[in-house]
Amino acid sequence: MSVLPETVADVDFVAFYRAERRSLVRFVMFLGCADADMAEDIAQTAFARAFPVWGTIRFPQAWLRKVAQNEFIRHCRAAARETSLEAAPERADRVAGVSAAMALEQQADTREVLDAVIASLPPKQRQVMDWHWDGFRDAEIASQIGDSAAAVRKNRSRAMKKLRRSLAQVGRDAK
Amino acid sequence: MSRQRWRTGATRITEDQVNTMVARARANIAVILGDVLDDEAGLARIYAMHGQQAPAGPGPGAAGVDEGGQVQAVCDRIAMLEALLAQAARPGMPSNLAGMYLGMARRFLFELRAGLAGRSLSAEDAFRLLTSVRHDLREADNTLRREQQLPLGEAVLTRIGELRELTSDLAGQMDALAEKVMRLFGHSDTPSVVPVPQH
Repeated sequence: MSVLPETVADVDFVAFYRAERRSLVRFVMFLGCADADMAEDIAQTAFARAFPVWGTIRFPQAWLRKVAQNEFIRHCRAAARETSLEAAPERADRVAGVSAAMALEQQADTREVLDAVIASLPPKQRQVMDWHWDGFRDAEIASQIGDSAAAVRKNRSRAMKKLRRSLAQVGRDAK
Repeated sequence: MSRQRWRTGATRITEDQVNTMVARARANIAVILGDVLDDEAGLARIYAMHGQQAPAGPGPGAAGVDEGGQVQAVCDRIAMLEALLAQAARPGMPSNLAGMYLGMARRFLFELRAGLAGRSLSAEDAFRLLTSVRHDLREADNTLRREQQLPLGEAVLTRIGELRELTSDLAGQMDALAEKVMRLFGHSDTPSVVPVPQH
């Protein structure tokens, strides 16, 4: 793994929690978690699970994201939706309505991009891009989501193509 | 930031432009979350679950001292730079060596952010990390400049040019960041706002 292994391993739990909590909540939101409070709970659960085994976790950033991702899928299933990420909401504006995400309503710029980013991507592509934007490489993402590196690369490439097209369209529409 | 900025008006948008937009949007979300999440309460819950008491406040004698959220603002700024570096150093970039330097710069920035957030960093350590980041950005730029002289394909040369613009931009932002970070330690005209332990 290349994502900050040595550095992160040396950082104590409290410092890591303070530095990374928001990123983890955001990661869950970008996976498609409609409820920001739930995203916070999921992130909190991941940290709580990490706490007793902290000294044994070699790559905390990946470890926490994987736990949070699985927890989110479990929530989706528990909510009797179809299956895993396929059940995730498709539009960024459904993130709004609770706590932190309320503020997104007031940030039209962010919102617009989020619409393009989240709404236009199928769940698997969104999942891959979420890991990618958090700085993970294709091989790392593959090992964390259970796909091949080639599949990750393909999804990332397709997602990026779609995003470029969507954003270009926004630009044209604005003219 | 004006609404128009997201609407580039261009008919073509590059991968870098997408990544930059997303990095900024994600940094904005992190700022918003920073305003509403209570880290101390969250830590207290975790420690309580395991029958322990959470460490008091953010660092020795530093509880509640982030007046005006200056430390948080600096951490948010660092997180944004980290995100930009993550995109710049992604696989497939034209120079592995430059990518390595950018990756190291990102690692040092993370260490700086974690140290500031945990109030566990001395002024000397902060200065060392800032110096390391600047060194790595400079080396990345030097590497890219050398590779720009090579007989490479137009697409690769264009990409190298874009990366050099980015490293140059980041280097400029590092100057401003360094001043803000050192101000937190009182190494400036303005008084220190956060009594980060001086080891």
